[in-house]
Amino acid sequence: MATKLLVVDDELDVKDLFLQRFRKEIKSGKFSFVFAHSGEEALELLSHVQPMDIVLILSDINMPGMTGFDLLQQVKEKLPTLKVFMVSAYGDAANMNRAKETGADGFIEKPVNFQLLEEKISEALENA
Amino acid sequence: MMKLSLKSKIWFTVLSVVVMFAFFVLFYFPEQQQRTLLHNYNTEVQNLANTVALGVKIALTEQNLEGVETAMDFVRKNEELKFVGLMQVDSTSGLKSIFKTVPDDYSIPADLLSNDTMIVKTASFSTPLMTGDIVLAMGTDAITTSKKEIRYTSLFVCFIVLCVGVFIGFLLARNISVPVLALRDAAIKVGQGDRTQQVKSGSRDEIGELGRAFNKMVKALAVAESERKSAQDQLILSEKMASLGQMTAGIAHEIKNPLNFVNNFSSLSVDLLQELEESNDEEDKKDIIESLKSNLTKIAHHGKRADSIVATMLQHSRGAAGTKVPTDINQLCNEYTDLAFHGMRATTRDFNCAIVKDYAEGIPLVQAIPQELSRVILNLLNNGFYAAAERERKSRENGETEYKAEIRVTTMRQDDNVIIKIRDNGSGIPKAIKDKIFEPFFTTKPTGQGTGLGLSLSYDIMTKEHQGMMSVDSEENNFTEFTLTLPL
Repeated sequence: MATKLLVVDDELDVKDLFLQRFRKEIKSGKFSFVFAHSGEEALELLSHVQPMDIVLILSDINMPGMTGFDLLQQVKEKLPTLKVFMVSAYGDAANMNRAKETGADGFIEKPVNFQLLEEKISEALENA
Repeated sequence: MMKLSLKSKIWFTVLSVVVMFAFFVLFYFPEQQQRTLLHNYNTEVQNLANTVALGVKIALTEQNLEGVETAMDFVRKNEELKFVGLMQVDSTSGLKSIFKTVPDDYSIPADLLSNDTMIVKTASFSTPLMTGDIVLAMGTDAITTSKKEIRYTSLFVCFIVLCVGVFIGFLLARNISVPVLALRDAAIKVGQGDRTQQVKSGSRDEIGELGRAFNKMVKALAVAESERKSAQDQLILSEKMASLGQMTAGIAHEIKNPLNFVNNFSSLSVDLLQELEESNDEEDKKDIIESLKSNLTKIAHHGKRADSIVATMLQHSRGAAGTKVPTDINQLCNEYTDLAFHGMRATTRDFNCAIVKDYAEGIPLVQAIPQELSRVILNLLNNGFYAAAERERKSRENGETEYKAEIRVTTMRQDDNVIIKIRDNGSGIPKAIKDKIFEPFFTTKPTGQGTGLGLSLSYDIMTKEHQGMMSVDSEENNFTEFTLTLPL
């Protein structure tokens, strides 16, 4: 069964980027993706997906309205087993620490190095 | 009170002096002169009468009747003589009778008194032979003549004085009124903004000094003004730079995003091309070509996006005044709201704010200077973020966690105006300082964090450059809403 990931980013083209970048993996059934454009949309989506087969969330931090951190916090409260990676252009210590403290399972810096992302995903899922 | 010009005041003063002088010369002075003349003439006639009486007395005492005649002849040659009479007074009855007259047999009325045409004087004498009076009457023609002469002289003097008065008035008017009026006109022009005005200041009197002082003042004013102008320009530039600094972080983020997409999609496209070369499946090839097309469109799109951000930044930092161009207010608001948001996110990391965009559809293009208007929007948004962050900090200090910062950007059309409202639910503006916020250099931010020029410049941009309006509504610890009105 494909590993299902939720990507949360206010940039619409992130969807195409992921779909193309992981097209082989999607084709081969390794990964499958769902997308949300805001924290609110992500929560909404999570509450409707039954059965809960999403295993990892990749969330942008800087979004208008609900931030990635808000989302992280709520996800960790409701679905503690769900892995969450934070993605941000601001890869400074403050952001990273805050992500760690709030319970993020990984921190990816923008621009995303997809090779590294893939490794991290595999690593995280193996540990689970 | 009647408004009198300086010129009329001078003329009034000079003329009243002339009139008073004329009055004196024409009436008082001749009257006085005439009285003196009359008085002197009276005394003279009396003296003559006394002299004749003395002569008659001496002659009678010597019983020399010829001597009496000689004494009376003493006045005969006087041109003004009307007559002289020797009146005998009866010692017992006191009755007077004419004894002798010159000219001879002149009939003297009994109640003879001085009148306008003659002066009558009596001198008594007494001798053992006869007691009597000498009655002397002299004409006043000479006095009348000299009276006339005095009149003529007075009139002449009056005329001269009038001429001199007019001349002095003319000179005074020229020396006082003309330079004063020139000063007035120059001062009015200086007041209207002309700093090149100078007045002629040749004369050495106070008015000349005033003129020189005025010239000096205008020159100093021009210098001070140009200094102030350049200082102001410096401040405006530093305010621009400050807002540019605030923007930079936002811009960096904004630019990085499209660039990431450009990089990602181009490297993906290289992979796709490789795949295309290797693929044998027609269906697959079609898919790949579709993806490539879409990728190139995306690369172009994000390239343009980065380009427009750079253009925006350049526009923003440009010092020269821009020109008005038809501007899409919604697009402008959107662009700068995003910029401001990312700028804020980049500089205050642990703060977030919901952005509600409420743009009316179908708003016509507005004639506006985009780089100036955007500065206003950016400035108001930054203030809004600051106020919201302040309130969040305060409520966190008070242990409250419910506060959610929110900024609402609204556009709408109202009659012939386009309205932009920027509302934050931040700390609000205390009533006491509400009137001051548009004043230059007024800031509530800690020293070094604000120039105090943001709102003042924004106000100028709205009212002076766009002939629009800028107003504020606020409630402490509730909200602040700025309303920008742009005429269509």
